Amino acid sequence: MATTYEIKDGTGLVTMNGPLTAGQVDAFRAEFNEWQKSSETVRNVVLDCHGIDFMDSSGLGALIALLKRITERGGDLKLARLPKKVRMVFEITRAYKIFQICDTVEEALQACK
Amino acid sequence: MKAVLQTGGTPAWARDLGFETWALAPIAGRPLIEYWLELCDLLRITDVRLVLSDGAQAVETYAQDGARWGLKISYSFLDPDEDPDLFLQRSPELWTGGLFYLRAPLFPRRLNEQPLEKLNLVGTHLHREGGRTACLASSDAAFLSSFIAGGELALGAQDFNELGFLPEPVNSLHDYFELNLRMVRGECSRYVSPGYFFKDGASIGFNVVIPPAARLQPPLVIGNNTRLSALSQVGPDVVIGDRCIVDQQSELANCVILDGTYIGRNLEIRDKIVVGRRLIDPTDGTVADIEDPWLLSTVPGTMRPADIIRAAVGWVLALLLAILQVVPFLLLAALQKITGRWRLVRGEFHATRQRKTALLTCPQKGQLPLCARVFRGLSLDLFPAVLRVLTGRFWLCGQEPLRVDFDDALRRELKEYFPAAFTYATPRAEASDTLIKRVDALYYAHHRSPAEDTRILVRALSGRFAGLFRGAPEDLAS
Repeated sequence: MATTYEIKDGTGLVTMNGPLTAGQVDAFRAEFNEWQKSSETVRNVVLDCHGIDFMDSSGLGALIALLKRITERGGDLKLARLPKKVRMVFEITRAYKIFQICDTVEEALQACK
Repeated sequence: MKAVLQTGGTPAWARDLGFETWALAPIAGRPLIEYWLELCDLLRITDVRLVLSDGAQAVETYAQDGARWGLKISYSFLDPDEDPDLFLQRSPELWTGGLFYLRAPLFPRRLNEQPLEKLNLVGTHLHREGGRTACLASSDAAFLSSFIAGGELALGAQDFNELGFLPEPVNSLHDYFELNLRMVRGECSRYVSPGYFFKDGASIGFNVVIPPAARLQPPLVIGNNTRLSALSQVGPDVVIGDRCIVDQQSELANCVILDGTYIGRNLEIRDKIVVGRRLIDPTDGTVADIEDPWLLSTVPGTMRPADIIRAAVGWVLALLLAILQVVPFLLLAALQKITGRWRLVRGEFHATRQRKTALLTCPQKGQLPLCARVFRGLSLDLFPAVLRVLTGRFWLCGQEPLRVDFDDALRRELKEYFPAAFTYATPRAEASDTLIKRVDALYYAHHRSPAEDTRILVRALSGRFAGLFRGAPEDLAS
């Protein structure tokens, strides 16, 4: 899974590409923690999920853990551009009730301000 | 009048649902082809030709010889690439006497609120889809000759409204979903057999487990052998097929769950079709295959584990019983044969898996009084039926075997049929009438389990054995 990290207007923008399944979650979690340590001023994070072609319950669990970690530090996590298939998984697992999901990255960044 | 129903062709929506042919895609829990077969019966057509192509074996396994619907079904095969209309040209003389023809995946939507009565088909009725005839009913030989020869003359043809139904196309997953929901929202009542109701907006199949903590909100349709778990919520507007499991705290609304689907714990299924581990959004046809078996998965096999146990234990017990019975049976039979009072009656019964079996029964009347008492007391009269258990034609314990011709109507009515050597009727001295047979059969279909089988077997054997010392019932005495 290829992930890029950048900061826009003080908000972290994480762009994810590829599947987010049991095989990738450990590496993603470690990579994200590293980035978070190096960007201590960033509290709010937007995940651009457009490139995620598949997600299973492990991937969903990783996102929930991420949300918990960010909110514990007083920030907020927003998801943007969820692909239809991933959105369907969010719907049946009721994950859409936990996350704030935006249609575009701009909308998500705006919501973080 | 004959009917020709083309079942070939697999539209994309049927493929997405995992069917090789549209004919077996369930609408409100019943395969689509079944609605057409019932309609043939209403139109007084008994001679039905199913033209198979994709999924041929599955259709043939399902429809069998058509006896379930009172029809005589025969089969023909067509190459999937061949034009379906060319089939009629193979032997046009067969169809010119009157033809009911279905060419495309359509649903016969009944227009009347009440179930249809038997109809008389006169004149020509035609329904076209995409510029071609998709459904046709005609008794006009000249028109049929022209149609079969490739002409599309429709002069004077009426639509099907006159007959009280309208062929409705199923072209997409959205059509399929909407059709199911429309059925569950009330149109189901138009298709029920006489004597059944869809009064409370709910249809629940046989052997469905619903714990007290589960919440049902009609309208809904639940198929046979489905299990709901505690705190699950089902409805409104839900169709659940056969052999499904809905795990704890899951909520289902406005959705269609097809046969053999497991819905994991604490899920919310709304506005979706679920087939095994496949999740479908019918609005745009998006298909997502879920890899996690604890979210969605397939319930394997058509037989419940309890039924497998029943079959295995029943077979072993039948073998033991047959070994114990064979010597006394032959001795008593020989004794009565010598005295000239022995006779066997041959009857034909409906057996398991849509088969029929000939069974010899030993009538009590006419036997030597003492022999009759011993025969009944030791259940030796059931020895031929016990042998049928060993050949797989009967179960050891279950429903009273139904006689061919005499009990055909009840056989058609029973979705779950377990003909058996030992039944609720076994300890009774008098023969069951149709009502008692129906009540027993429905009760057993709901309550069957290894424990229930044990109860039937113990009651039958002990009750009859006790009768050996009490004296034979009067009606058994010669």
